[in-house]
This record gives sequence, C-alpha cells and structure tokens, in this order.
Amino acid sequence: MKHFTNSNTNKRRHSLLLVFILLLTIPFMAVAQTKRITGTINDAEGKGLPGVSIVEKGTTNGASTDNDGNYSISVSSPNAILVFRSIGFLSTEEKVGDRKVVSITLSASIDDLDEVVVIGYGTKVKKKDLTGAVVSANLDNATTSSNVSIAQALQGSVPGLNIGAVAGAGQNPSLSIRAQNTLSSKGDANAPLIVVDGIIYRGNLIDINPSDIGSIDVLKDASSAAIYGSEASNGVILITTKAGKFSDKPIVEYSGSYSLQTPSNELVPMQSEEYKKFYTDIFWAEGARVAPDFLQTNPDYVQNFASNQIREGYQNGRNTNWWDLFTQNGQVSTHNLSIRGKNKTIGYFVSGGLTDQKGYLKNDAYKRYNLRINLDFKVNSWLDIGTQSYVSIGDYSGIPAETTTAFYLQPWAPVYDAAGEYETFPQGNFYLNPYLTISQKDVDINKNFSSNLYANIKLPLEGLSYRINYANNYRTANKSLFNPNANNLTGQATKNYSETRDYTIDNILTYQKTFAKGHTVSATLLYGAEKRNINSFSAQGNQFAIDALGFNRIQAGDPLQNVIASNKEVETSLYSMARVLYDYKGKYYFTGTIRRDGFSGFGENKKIGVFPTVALGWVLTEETFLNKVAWLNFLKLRGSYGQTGRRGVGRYDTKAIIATGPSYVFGDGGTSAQGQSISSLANNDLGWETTTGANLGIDFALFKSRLSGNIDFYKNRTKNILYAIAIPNITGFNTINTNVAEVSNHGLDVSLTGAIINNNDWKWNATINYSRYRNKIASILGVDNNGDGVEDDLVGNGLFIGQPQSVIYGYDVIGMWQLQDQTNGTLPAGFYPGTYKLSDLNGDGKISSIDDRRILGYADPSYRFGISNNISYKNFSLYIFINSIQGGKKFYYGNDSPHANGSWNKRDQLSYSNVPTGAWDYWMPENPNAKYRRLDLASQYGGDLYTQRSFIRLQDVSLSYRFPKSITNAIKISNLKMFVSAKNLLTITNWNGVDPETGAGFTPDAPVLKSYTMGLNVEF
Amino acid sequence: MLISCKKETWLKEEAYGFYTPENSYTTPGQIDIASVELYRNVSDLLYGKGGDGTSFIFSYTTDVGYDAIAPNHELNSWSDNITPETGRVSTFWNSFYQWIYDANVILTRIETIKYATEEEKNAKKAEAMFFRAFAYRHLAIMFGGVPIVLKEINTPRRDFVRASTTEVWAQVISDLTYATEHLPGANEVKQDGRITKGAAYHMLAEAYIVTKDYPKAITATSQVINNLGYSLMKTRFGTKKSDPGDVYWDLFRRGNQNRKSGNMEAIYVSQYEYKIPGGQIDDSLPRFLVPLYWQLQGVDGKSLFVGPSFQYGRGIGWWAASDYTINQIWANTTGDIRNSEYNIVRDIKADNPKSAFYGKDIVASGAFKSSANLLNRYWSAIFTKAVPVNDFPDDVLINAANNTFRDRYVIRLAETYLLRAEAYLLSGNTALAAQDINQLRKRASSPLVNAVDVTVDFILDERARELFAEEQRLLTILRTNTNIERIRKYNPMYNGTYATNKINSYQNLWPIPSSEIERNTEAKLVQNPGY
Repeated sequence: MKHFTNSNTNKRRHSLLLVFILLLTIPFMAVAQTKRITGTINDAEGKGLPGVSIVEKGTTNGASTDNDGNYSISVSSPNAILVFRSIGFLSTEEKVGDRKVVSITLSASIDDLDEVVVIGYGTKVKKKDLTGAVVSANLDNATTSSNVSIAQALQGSVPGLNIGAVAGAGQNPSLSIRAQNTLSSKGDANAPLIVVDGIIYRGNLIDINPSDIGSIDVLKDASSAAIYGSEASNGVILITTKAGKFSDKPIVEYSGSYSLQTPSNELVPMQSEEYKKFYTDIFWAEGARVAPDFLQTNPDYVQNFASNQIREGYQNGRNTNWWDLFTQNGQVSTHNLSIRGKNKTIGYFVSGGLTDQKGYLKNDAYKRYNLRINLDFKVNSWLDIGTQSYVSIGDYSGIPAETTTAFYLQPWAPVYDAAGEYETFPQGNFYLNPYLTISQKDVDINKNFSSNLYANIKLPLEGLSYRINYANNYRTANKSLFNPNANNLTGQATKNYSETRDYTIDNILTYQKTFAKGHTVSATLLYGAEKRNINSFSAQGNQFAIDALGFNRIQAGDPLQNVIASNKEVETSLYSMARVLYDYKGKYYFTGTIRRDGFSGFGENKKIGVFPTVALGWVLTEETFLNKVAWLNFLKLRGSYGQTGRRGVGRYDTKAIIATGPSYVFGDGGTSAQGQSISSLANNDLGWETTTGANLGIDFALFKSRLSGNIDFYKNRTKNILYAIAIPNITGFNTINTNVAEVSNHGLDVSLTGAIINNNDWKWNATINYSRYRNKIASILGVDNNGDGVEDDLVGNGLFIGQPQSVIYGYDVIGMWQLQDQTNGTLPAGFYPGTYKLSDLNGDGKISSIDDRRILGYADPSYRFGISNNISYKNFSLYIFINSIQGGKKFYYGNDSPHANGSWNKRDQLSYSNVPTGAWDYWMPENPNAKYRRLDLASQYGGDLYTQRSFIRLQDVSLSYRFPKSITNAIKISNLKMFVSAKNLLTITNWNGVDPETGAGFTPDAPVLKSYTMGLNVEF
Repeated sequence: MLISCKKETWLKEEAYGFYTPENSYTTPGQIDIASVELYRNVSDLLYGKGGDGTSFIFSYTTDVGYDAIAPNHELNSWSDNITPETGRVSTFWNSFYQWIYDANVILTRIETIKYATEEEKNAKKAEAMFFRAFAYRHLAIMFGGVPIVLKEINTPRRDFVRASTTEVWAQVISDLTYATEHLPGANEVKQDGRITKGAAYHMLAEAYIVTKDYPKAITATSQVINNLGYSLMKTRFGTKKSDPGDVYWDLFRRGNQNRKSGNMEAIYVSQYEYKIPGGQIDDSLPRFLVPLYWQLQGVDGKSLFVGPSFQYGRGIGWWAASDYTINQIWANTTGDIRNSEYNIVRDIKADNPKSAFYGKDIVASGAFKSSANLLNRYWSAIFTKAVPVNDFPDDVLINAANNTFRDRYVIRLAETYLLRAEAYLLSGNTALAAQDINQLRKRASSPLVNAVDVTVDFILDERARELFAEEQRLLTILRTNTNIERIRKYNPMYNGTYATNKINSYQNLWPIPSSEIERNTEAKLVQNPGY
C-alpha cells in the first residue's frame, strides 16, 4: 500500500468519516480490548501533530490524535503493531510490546507528494496532482542565514530558478527562471513575474519580510505560467505569506539573528611602496627605461605628477590607505516578532520585523521595518472575508563610499590639507575626498503600503464559489540629497519624490466537484483589471549662499538655477482567464487554460493577446500493471504545451515622444529658451513577445519513497521578440522597437531527493538540483543581404543566427609581439611590442575586425547544480548547501582582464589611479611571456582574454539546536531553537576577478561577503 | 463599475508627462520652441562635445594641431583610425542627420500652421533651412554625396541612396538662397545669437566656392562685407579693453562676442550663458588645448608650479598646436598682433616658491628637461583666445577652470574676407584677393601681402593665423583638397617629429559609417573609394 492512495479530496473525506465511525465504535469494542496505550505524536520540531491516524495493523481498530498530538487506543495484545499515518509524513510502524506509552516523532515525508502547491488564482493542488512544472521552494533554512532578501534564500534551491549573488546593502539579487527567452539581457527583461498572495506584485521584492513568508511556489513551464498571460514567459514566482493556524491560544514567536560579514574575495589597492615600483613601469616606453632593450631604468627620467601634492606625497613617502579608511565589517541584524492563531471563526497572523544592515563599504546601510496583519474571518457558512495588509519601510539613507574611489586616489594623495581640514580634491582633479562624499546629507526612504481585501462566497450550487480580491499597493520613494561640494563647493540640493499606486480587482469564480466514478473537476474563471498610477516630482536648487538648511530649503539656492521636473504615467491591464483541471481517479489528469490579456502599453493596433495551454498527466503507479512493483511507489508522466507572453514594451514605448527642456539662452544675460525635438518614432504595431513552450516531466518516488525526484525537459520558442532594430541614422533615429526576432531554448531541470539515513536519532536527507539550458537565436531581422542563403548575423549587436545570445566574439589572442619584432621590422601596422598578437583567421596577412574575429565562447552557464544536505541528530540539525555554476567546455566566459577596467587600460588613466596589490602579470621587456599585455597601451585592435567563471561555492552551513521539551517546559516556553550559520564560506574558482557569480571582473567592485550568523527562535 | 467599463477606454494609453508630435507642432509658438533646438544641436556638436574630444576632431586631425597623448591615441592616425567602423565617424554622420531631421520636422509641419503674416512664416522656414543647409554642407565636405532627405521621416526607412556631391551642394545653395531672402538682418534680429542674412550669405559664398561659381561667391561675400552692417573691429572694445592687450585679444574675451557688446564683426555666435539652465555648453577648449604646464617638474626635482592657475586655467594638453601653428606661420609677420605676447604665450613664469626657478620664465631658464615634456604635452604655447585669462567666473574652483565660459564664433567677418579672397584668387584676381587679406593684416598690424604672393596655401596659412582653434580646420583643408599633403607635412605625428603615421591618398573624404551601410538594407549605400 502506498501511503497516499486516499489522497484526493473525496477519498480523504471518506477516510476521515471512517476514522470518525471507528472512534464512535471504540466504546462498544472496549470489552474485547485488553490494553490501553497512550502517547504523543510530534513532528521533527517537537510540536504535537493533530489528526494523525493510528491503526492497529491488520485490524479496523483505530484512533487519531487531538490538537496537541495526544492519542489513546486500546489494543488486544502486546504483539499489536500500531501504524501511524499523517499526510506529509512518512508512515511509521511501532510494536507495542509491554509499553503503555508509545510516543513517537514522525519524519516528514521527503517526497512531498502530498504537499500542497499554489498554482495561481486561489487554486491549490497536491504536488502529485500537478500537470506542469511547478516547484515549491524549501524555506526551512531561509531565515537562518544573513539573507536580507527572500530571493537570496532561494539561491540554488529550485532547479531552473537562477539567482545571482549580491554585494551591497539592501540589494536584491538578479532573478530568472530557466533560459533567456528574449533578446534583451537588460534589467528586468528576464525577471519572472512575482505574485504575492494572489496579486501581481509591482514593488521591490526586498520589501517583503522573509520571515513573513509561508511558502514560495515557482511556475516554470508555459502551461503553468500561462494563466498570467502576457507577463508569464519568464515564469512566475508565487509567494504566500503566513496565515493563522489552528491553535487554542495565540502563538507568540520571536526570531532574531546577528551576522558579521567580511569579503569573500576583494581587490585591495597598493600601498605607497608597492605602487611606487609599479608606477615607473607605466612609463617604461616613455623615458623611464633606456632604449633599445628597455631593461635599465633611465636616471634622467623626469616624472610629472597629477598634482603638486601628489608629488610631495611621492617624495615624502606619504601612504594613505584609502581602502582601509572606507571599508568595514558588514553586519546584519534582524528581529521578528509575530502572533498567530486560529479558531473556528477567525485566523490571524500579526508580525513586526526589523532588519538592519551595514555593508562592507562605509555608509552603505539599509534598514527595513515591516509590519503585517493577515486576517481571515469566517462570517457564516457561505461567506469568508480577509485581508493581507502590510507596511514596509526601506531606509537606504546615506551615501556609501565607493570602491572605485579608493582606486582613483593614489596613496600619495593626502586626506587633510595644511590647515587640517579635509582636502576637497585629494588627487588634484575631480575626485572628491571620500570623507566628503560620505558626509553628504542623504535621506533615501522607500515606503510600501499594501492591502489586499478579499471575500469568498459559497454560491448555492454545490462546489461553486466566488472570490473577489481588491488589492491596493501604494509605494513612495523619497530621496533628498544635499551635496555641499557640488557646483564649485556652493552646493546642490535635490529632492525626488515619487509615488506609485497600483490597484487590482480580480473576480474569480471557482467550481470544484467530484462526480461519481472518480471524475473530479475544478474550474476557474477570472475577470480582472489592474491600474497603475505613477507620479513623480523632483526639485533641485543650486549655488547656496547659505546652505545651513540643505535640502529642506531648496529655494535658498540661486533662483536662476532652479530645476524642477514632474511626470505622471498611467498603465492599465484588463484580463480574463479560464482554467479547467480534471482528473480521473488520481490516474489521468488534464489541465487546460486560456488567458486573454489587454495592456495599455501595447501599440494601438495590438492591444489584446490570447494565450492558450494544455497539459496532461498520467500516474502510472495507479495502473494495475505497476501498482504491484514494490520498489516503485510513485511514477507519473506529465506533458504540457502552451503559449505565454512577455510584454517587453513598457508603457509609452510605442509612442513618439517629444524631448523638451531649457535648451538655449540667446544673448548675454538672457533667460532660458525652451527647446523641443522628437526623440522617438511611434510604432502602433508593437505587441507582446510570444513564447510557445513544451514541457515533459516525470515525477517518481522509489524504495519506500526514500528516493524521489522530478525530471523536466523543456523546449521553448519565442517569437516576435521586441528588439530595437538599428535603422539608418539618416532617418534621424538610431533604432526602432519592433517585434521581430526569434529565440529558441531547450533545457533540463532535475531534482533528486534521498533519505540517506533515516532512523530515530540520525537523519540525513540530501537533495541535488541540476539544471542546464541551451539557447539559440533562430532569427533576428529575417534578412539575407549577403545572399548566402542564411539569414545575416547582427555582428555589431553580437547576435549570430544559430548561436546562443551570449556569444563572446573577439580576436584570438595567440601571443605577444616583442621588441625584437620591432627591430626586425616584423611588427605589423597598428601593433606595438608587448601588445597581443592576434590570429589572422582568414590568412590575408592583415588583421581586420570584419574577418578576424570569431566566437570564442559563450557567457551563459553550461549547467548549474546545488546540493543541499539536512543532517539531524536528536535535537541538532545541520544544513549544508553547495552551489555551483559550471561553464563546461565553452560556456560561462567572462572578461576578467585588468584592462577591461577603463582606469587600468592605458598610460594616462593608470598614471592617476591606483591598482590592486600584486597587480597582474603584465608584459615588460624583462617579462616577455606575461599573461597580459603592456600597461600603457593596446594595439589598434585590442584583444581580450576571457576566463570561465565556473565555481563551486559552499554557500550555506547552518547548525541549529532545538532545546528539548524538558527544558522548554521548565522555562515555560513552547519551543526554543538556536542556530549558527555561515554563508559563502568557501569558493573554488579559476576566475581572476572579484566574484565569479556576480561576474565582477578584475575591477574595483564591491565584494561578495562571507557572513557568520547566530540567532534564535522562541515560541511562547 | 469595472465590468461596465469599455475595453477600449480602459486600455487607451494617455500621455500625461510628455508631449507627442500630434500636440506640439501646431502653433507658431511651438515652432519657435522647436527651432531653439536647432541652435542647441550646432553648439553641442561643434563646442559642447569637448569632454570626450569630439569637438576637437576638427582641429587635431589636421595641419594645425595633433593629439598630444600618444601617437596612436584617438584619431591621431588617419589610416588606422578614420575607418568605416570608427565611432567618431558615425558620431558626426549621426549628428548631422539629427540636425537635418529636426529641421525637416519644422519644415514639414510648419506648412499647415497659420501665421499672422507670410513673412513671419517664411523667416521661420528660412531659419530651419539655414540649419539644414549647414548640416548638408558638413556632410558634403566630409563624406561627399550623401542621401538627401527633405521631409520629416516617420516610418523606419532603409532605402537611402547617395545623391551626387553636386546635388547635395545644389540643395545647400537652394536652402541658403531662400535663407538669404527671408532671414532678418543683423540689426533686425530679435535676439543676439539668432541666425541672420549675413550668416546665410557667408555660407552661401562658401558653397559657391566649392561649386566653382566664383562670381556668385564674390557677390555673396560682398553682401556681407558691404551691405549688412558688419565691420572688422579695429579698436579696443568690450569688457577688458582697459587691460593690457590689443583688439584681437579683445575679440576673445568673455562677453565680447555678441553684437550688443559692440562687436560688429560677429556673424553667427554660438551662445553660452553661465549658470542658466540650457545656457551652458560643455566647452572644454582650455582643458584640452592648454598644456599641462602645472604638472611640470623642474630640473631641481621640484614642481615648477603650485598648481593650475586662474590665469591660464587647468589645461591637460590633450591636443596641441603644431609647430606650423606656433612658429612657421609667423615667419615674416613682424608686429602681427595675432602673434603678440597677449595672444600667444610662449613662455610663462614658474610660480612655486620652493622651485629654484621661482619667478623665472620656464623655457628661457631651461627649467625643465625635454623628457619632462613628451610630445610637447606639458608645454608648447598658450593660445589665449582659448582661455578666459584671469577671467574665470568667481565661483569656479581651480579644478574646474577649464571651460571657455564664453560665446563662440561660428562665423566671423574675418573669415568672410578670407572666403572672398579665396574666390578672387580662384577666379584669377590675385590683386583683390590680396586686398581682402590685407584688410585682416592691417587690422592685425601685420606686413601687407603682395598680390603675387597670394596662393591657396597662403590663404590657408592666413586662416591659421586668424582662425586657429576657431574655424573647423578639418573642413577647410578637406574642402580645399589640401588635407593629405598638409597633414603629411605639418602634423608632427605624420612628419616624423613624433611618429610617422599614415594618411592614405584616398582620405580626402571620410568613410560612410559601415553600420549605416549595414542598416540600409533595402538599398545600397556606396562606400567612398579606398575604404
């Protein structure tokens, strides 16, 4: 018997009824019983489990646990075996023996097949009933690390969900699902749609307090996501916040943590002594060395310096450690307090949270305040109402120090001037003293107020109900800055204020019914609309005679130089959707959806899109030919096919826009004249991109469900990709947005979970996630001008037909030209000794950008994997998560050359910058076989070296201890857990740059931080 | 409420925060606003794109100057770096067509707009036509025959073909002729800085010289010289007239360019207004042309200067005048005020009290070694017409003392004389050519030239003397087809002084940007020969 056979709603109802009948009959059967057994059934966290069924094996004798997990049952003999079953847990058998108390801990069933998954618009299904590729994220360890954004906690946990690393305070990592469907890799172009508590979320993900989140479900394939129509092709992330759960008394929970953060890898600028040596190497060809072999230094060489102060610093051996002055250990502290409870009429979850983050760079800070109230009322037998409401305040105030500044400033530059004041421009140029940068007055606060009200009405027809959601989200971004050093030290004050109000109304009609003979139907009809209003205003004052009031009195600036700007934008959507889920006896499944989507931002002629999908599922283990195979507990095949869209166009992208503003001043002492010009061409045919995708999946559970997993294979083809096609500038424009290109993707997501050890004291579960995809450009403009029968590449944009989008296209660097080549006259035009020798691919004897560049590799990863381990011993549990992205043979390339950084790529810039300690292996006459070219200049053709970013990272290690009941009871709390954890402890990579995952190359960039966290959870 | 609202209404996209073409080119006032942008376009490209070096390409790729950073820096080498793929090449191409587009929008939409009088409307059209002609003139000189577009384009066209050079010049002449007829005169124009008849005649004259129609060129220039109220400034004037100096120096002081300042010589002045929104142009001429003198180390190991000074500003010596400009053209010009100590500073005094050379002329005293002055970047000469000498705005910090902070001449009467001289010379009348040149030389107290000595080269030299860092030298030597020989001869990156860079014999025109050829998928844009 499989423990989930009685799983669909109807069957469960029957079994509950059976238990009820059994309970009723217990008193009458008592005469025959000989022994009474009592006990408590707990989950792994030591909480009592209500509703666990207890059956004496081989009989109909049974019982179930009460709200606290207590039960009692009478059995006939000491040989009796009790079978404990509960949904979501491994069924467990215990021989009674001579015990009177049988208390056990049930382990969570690792295959999670009965776990409930949210699939959008109010519908939940069990995992085993899914037809599409939907994955629930494991949030067990989300709050035991220094994750400020929930997205960080999801890193590596869901195959096909790609999450980047973060380096600064209060930042979200980049987020994408599966492969890139569109051509743009910019900003949010590939970000999935985020839905919070059923409502499309337009705010910043970081506003959502991770500890308020109950579950996260990821809709990966077209058929699952298509219910969100024209915004679904990047996948959908459904976030559900916590709700009240049944409890007699309110549960008060506090959790707190503190993290300390240090760089996992960083570039530190040179100190004076080292830089002094490096400095003359910059000028080797310009007099610092003696020709012709340039091996001897030139005693006559005169070194000019960026400023007099720098020269003095150089001569006096000044050493300002700009890096140390402006970096610090990062810190994150969090405090969360919540109260939750539920009875027959009301459920509530009320929480407050505080997150305080200080970044690695001085003054890089983020503070977040969260308040939330989730309520649900059962008004009567046919009406439920409720709300999810919250306030989130994110405070980014303060101008952080910049990593780049420490490299712009030489160690010879002074912090203070002769009078002991901060030297305004230590380098004698435009770089402000970082002390003055961070002391600017800056208030930068985002507020997010949100309230979703809903009502659920049971309609007279059985199984039919109506739900209305009315959601309001109001966000403000308020930034004020006073920079006393701007405008030649006379000051500049700005205030930017923007507010966004989004509201959504969804009308949802649901019909759910199980008919005779095992036909179950669940249908959803949706009609809804969204409106977004965006208003912004900014004012700037310049040149303050008296600046004491800063940005609180902008009008104190020179009135002639005031700048104001305001804007208003409105965006609307109107949509309807129908979905039918059908299953026959938990064996055959069908899902069909269709969504019709209108969006104001589409061109006049293309306002509406329609997105249909269909999906099928077949549980083979329900078939008679397989249900006897003992080792195979569950096997299901899924297939889906459908269309989703991506808006691609933002609001107003289809319109021709006039650029206006003060443009000119005629005459001496004149006033501003406004000017205007048309800055973009209209395109009334612009519409959504359409992704047509197929997904084939297999779900399985083997060996008493100790090994379970899913494999999903997908293939997507996106058409009408919105692309800014270059047009001749003769038109007056550079590009026009058009729906043209085509991209195809295929990929594989695999997730395997095994209970490696599973006994009373020791448990070890491991999950391996693996994903890979391959991306191909099928078409761009669809023209073949060169007449070779194949569509032309768009070399200038780095787009090649039949290739992935992320090509690294460049010259083959095959060596280095030497001084010898110059003397011999074998140095080709445009090259210099110590510059890269490039391969003449077409062998015509000269290098040309047209003929001699080739695809060197791809920037996309080849594959990703994550390995998570949950190991527990009694009350200890250990979580270890390893994350990796690999480049395979030709993938995941990046440019980590020092020369990729503009400050370090030629003599001029180098001569007024600093470089990382140790510098790099650069060509010099005495180092002819260096890895990188000479410091002072490149050849006319350049050339770059690329490295694969492949890495394996020990991303999370977390050890927690749950205090035993004996202790918690004694101190009158119900639950106490303490934990220590570490993030980004170790990274194995060949990448030369700051971080392989962020892609930060060998360039001043904020480091990814290693963090050490300790914290606790208490429940009263 | 929601159910009842109509789909069309709900999804209609309304613009609140910006104007659209439908509602912003419908009144004379809106056309005025649109034409302001035409002025901005020119000022931005010719003067305001100094920060990235673009505006100076007209100077340093020629005989009069060079890029002093390195022999292979930027466009120092024509053969290596002026190619169909060079970003700078497309920057110019794109900008000129942007000017044309903006003018065409006005010219297309003005037709349906009601004006109080026909003259008023014609004057606005004439203004737009001037700028369109100005753009085509640049294109024709730099690229040769280019596609001619005369209407606003509102669909993504990709079918452009090149017109002949003759056709482009005919278009320039046609537009400018209209402009000469309908633009106001110098004394009628409402605001300083606005285009006048004089500017149109001047440009028309140049177009006639290119098309070898010398009598018409002479007529057009004579209009400017004789009939439109312009005259050379011969006595001290303006804001700094009491300071030591001369009238040539006065011409380039802040506040002295516009007609209201008493300057009768200015014809088209690109406007600059400090600290007024829309008024500032990022004109970094001093920053790029003034040497990095303040970083020089003396032979005693001390800095010669405490830092940049408000006298000459904070130059970085990005480009420098060639020896031709600093020395050669001044042979036999004794007394020429354009070469006076006020206008070309060839030596300056060290101001670092700690230096052994404090208070001494740095060149005369041998205060620095030549190895401290690679490529003459740190010291060559200071052309004070490029710098507001001791006249930076009060609130400017020393590290921002690198802008001209003043109006710039696009067209000055002195050039009109030189154009007429060129027309006379080319039509065989060297006597009158000499007479025109001597108008400038008289004003400059320079020895007068004899008719027999007037050649095209002489005129180009005279232009260098009169108009260095002012004219678009690149256009002058391209137009006169002298760029190849003159660059090879005078530019130190070509003539062996610092390098032996190449300019190819076909490089009398710039290449059509290859991206433009690529994008023009429905017709063929033929590349210029050689590229």
